[in-house]
Amino acid sequence: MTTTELPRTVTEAPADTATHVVIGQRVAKIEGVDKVTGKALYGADTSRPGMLWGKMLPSPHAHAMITSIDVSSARALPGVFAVITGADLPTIVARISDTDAAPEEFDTPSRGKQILAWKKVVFFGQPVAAVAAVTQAIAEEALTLIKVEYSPLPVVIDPEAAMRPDAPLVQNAVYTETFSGKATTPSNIAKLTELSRGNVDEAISNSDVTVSGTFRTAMVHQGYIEPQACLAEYSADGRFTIWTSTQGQFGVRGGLSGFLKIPPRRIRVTASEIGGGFGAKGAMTLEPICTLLAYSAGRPVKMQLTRSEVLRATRPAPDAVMHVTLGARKDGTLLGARAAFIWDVGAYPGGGSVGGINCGFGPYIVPAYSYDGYDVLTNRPSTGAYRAPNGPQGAFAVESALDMLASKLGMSPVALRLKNAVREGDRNPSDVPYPRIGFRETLEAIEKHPVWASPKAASSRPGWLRGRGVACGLWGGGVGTSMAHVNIGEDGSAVIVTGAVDLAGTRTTMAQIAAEELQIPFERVNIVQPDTDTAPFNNPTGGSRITYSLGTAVYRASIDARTKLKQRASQQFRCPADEVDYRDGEFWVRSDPSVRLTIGQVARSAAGSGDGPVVGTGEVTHLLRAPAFATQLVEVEVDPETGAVQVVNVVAAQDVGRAINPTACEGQIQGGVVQGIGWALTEGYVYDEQGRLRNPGLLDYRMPTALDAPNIECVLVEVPAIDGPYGVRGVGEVPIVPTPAAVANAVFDACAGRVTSLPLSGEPVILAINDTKSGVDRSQMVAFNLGPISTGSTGASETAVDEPKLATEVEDYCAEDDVAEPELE
Amino acid sequence: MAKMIVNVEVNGERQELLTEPYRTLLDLLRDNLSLTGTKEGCGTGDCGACTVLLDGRPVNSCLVLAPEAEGRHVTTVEGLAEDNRLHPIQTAFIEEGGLQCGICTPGMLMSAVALLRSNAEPSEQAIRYAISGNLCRCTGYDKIVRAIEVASKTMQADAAIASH
Ligand code: FES
Ligand code: FES
Repeated sequence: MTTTELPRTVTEAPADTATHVVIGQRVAKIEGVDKVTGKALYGADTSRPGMLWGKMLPSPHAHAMITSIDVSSARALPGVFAVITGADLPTIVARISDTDAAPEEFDTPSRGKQILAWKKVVFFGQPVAAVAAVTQAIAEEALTLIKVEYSPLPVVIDPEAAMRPDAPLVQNAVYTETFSGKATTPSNIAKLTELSRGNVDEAISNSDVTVSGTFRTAMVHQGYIEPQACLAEYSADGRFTIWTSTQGQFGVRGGLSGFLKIPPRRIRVTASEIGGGFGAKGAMTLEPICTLLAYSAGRPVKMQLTRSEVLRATRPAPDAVMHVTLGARKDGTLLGARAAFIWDVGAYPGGGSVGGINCGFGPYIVPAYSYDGYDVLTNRPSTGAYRAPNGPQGAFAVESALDMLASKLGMSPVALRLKNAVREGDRNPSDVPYPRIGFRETLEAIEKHPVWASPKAASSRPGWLRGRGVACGLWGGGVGTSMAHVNIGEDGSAVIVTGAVDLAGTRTTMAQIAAEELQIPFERVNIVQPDTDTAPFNNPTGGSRITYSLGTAVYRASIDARTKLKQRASQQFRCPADEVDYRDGEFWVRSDPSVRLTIGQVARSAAGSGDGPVVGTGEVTHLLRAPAFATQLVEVEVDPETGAVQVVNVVAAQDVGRAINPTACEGQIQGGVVQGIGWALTEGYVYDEQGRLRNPGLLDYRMPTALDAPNIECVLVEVPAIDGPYGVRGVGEVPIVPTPAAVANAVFDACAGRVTSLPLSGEPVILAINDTKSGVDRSQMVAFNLGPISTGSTGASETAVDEPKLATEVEDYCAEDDVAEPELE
Repeated sequence: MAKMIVNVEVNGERQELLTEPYRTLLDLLRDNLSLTGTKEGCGTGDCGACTVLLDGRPVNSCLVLAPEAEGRHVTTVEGLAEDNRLHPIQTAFIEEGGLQCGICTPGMLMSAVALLRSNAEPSEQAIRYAISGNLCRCTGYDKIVRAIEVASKTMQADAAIASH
């Protein structure tokens, strides 16, 4: 049951919108017709004549040495065209590139290089061999004929256990990286990040109130509905053509070029329509192996992951164990914070703690702190980016602790956050100052919202308890290179050409920007995303950077086209360009406004005279980041008998800078919130002791359905960003950040049980209620009992006091993962 | 394994299809007929991306074996628009923002069409129930629910006009 007590409103845009015609409009999705008629071609929808099907053999062990692989029977099966194992990689790459590929290169502990396990498997479901055959059924039969012998090794699944000195080593050649260098003996702690400022011990001991807690989140999956799919073809001219479901076709081209040791010109990548990515399709998955199969088989090869492969062996988001202590004055002013965040990054190094720290603590002014982040290897799949990478985990810890502090102080959770909220000029944990931001405005929007201002309603379910919780979130904003062309047709219409992938609606917002700047109707703008041979270069889509960065490129390209059109018009008017005026599709000479040419007339004449037809170009490499903040109010109902939790209502306030298309902004927010609800209530990887994933299917890995999703009212706050067009900010990442914490805080409000681990629906709620009943105060739990840990280093982890620690790789607001880059140089 | 012939009507056209008996209706649509509008999200009946109408009722085509389709009528997303005119449910999804990446959309549309055929004026709860077998990871469902409400109104208005 869901309630319908709220009107779905959007805060009115600020006054300057009067000058905008298309910006701010709820125009319909430009590619909508293709998507509702089934015409849009996704990763698995393209086929080629003579095409084979590729399949991979998963490891049944989470940690084992491969003692032998025999593929002879699989090769002999009629209909099988290629069988590849890890040991074949160097030879095939050497043949493709005509270079000597050193075998060791394919046996490094690298996420990108390990496309097939070689010598050792390090997680359950890791691919150990691949085949290409005429049908899927024959390919599957061939897999059953591959004989692999394993010698199992001890398994480590829990990140805290993996940090102990006696833990089995997941990788033999990973040494703890710190700001002061690399350790000399191998360790499961791939990286230790330390950020500190001031004297935190003193700050905490001077505090009137302190709270501590240990918070845990489960490994979760991005849950895109389209499994990864790829089609690769090799042609005798030495070129590869790839069709794939990716967030960045140029990233795939660059990644394959590095992996195959061939120049990018030998690779052409077409990004298909993408059925959801949320960060996961920013890195390559199938492309390298599909390419090698196509080369070896001499025929095009299509691969499509099964759902269990998606869950077992792509890149889910890391689980985390987070110890937090906060100290504050009686009036709520934060004085100090201490934290140790432990990230289970999976079987290969990567990911990074900084994002979680900066997202979690970034919204607040903390005069003294020490934050340690550990990236820990376990026998789980490599983790990857998922919508505001590491933000929801960090916010779950910090926002829960703040809620504990508020109740201890008897203070309103909104007032506590307002008291400590960062403003322009304040610095984040990585010591980077904030430009103009709209954080307080989102808090104020919630504070004065009727739901917050009115008393809590009774539960709609008999015997259930109703509660209300608040939490905030931050995403630093994505940047990166974007380019666009705007081709003016001879009827004065425009086609935007870009190489950026549209994950969820940016084609429409780009067309709105071009229509606005060219002053032509939205219907006269189209947008295409051709392949890497044709399209201008773009970094992958991720980190909520497209509307901001590509928007800037399209804005510049449109203005460039308009300027050129004006110059063409002046040739036709036979007057200097600076005497020509333009407005809403018409040019005229300032001295004689009665003589007019439409944009279509100018374009048509220009097609065959003067300086010729017009193409506007726009590019951008680095804008100033535009951090986005969100505050969410969540109402839940809790069954105190079973611990079941239903989210019944959400008010999500977010600073979007400027809503180019409010419908698209709301869609992003509502989608992020529901993903956050899944993270909070039901989603999580479950492993057995042998490290086998017990829930590799959508029945047991439980994502929210329409019945689990509440009404979500979006309050669009518009505090313009200082860079980029119209003040826009990226919208997509931040709405998932506050949700899990807001749900947990609402559960506490409902039943007085403080749940500190996710997913929380069911048993954890009952345990938390029992804790409260038996007088266990979670806020007094000792948070820093890390026990013996093995960084393999000697003294490198000591923290200097007083000086903010800075390293070049952390000079950002959030994760380095935000724009997923190809991981193969 | 020996192949067999399956006779099935798809979007009003009779088809005679050669297939192994273990393949699914989803395979027939996508691979034999190149009707790739119907999507595969899981292959195990858990996501609804492969929803089609079988004799007017919504089914997960990944769970229907090819021989089970013998002699039956199948409607896929490609069969919704008539004479190049979108079905009101398609228009509503576009206008209300009921889709983002669009991979769940074909299945959602089929579930929605089936609902509106049996219940012309469904409550919000009935809508949520009808699409609860269709997972969407992008939209949070809100705008999908609104789109189905809008389509229901449009279709009733159209029917009222038609009956006058
Ligand atoms: S593909 Fe049939 S239900 Fe998921
Ligand atoms: S629109 Fe992407 S899954 Fe529904």
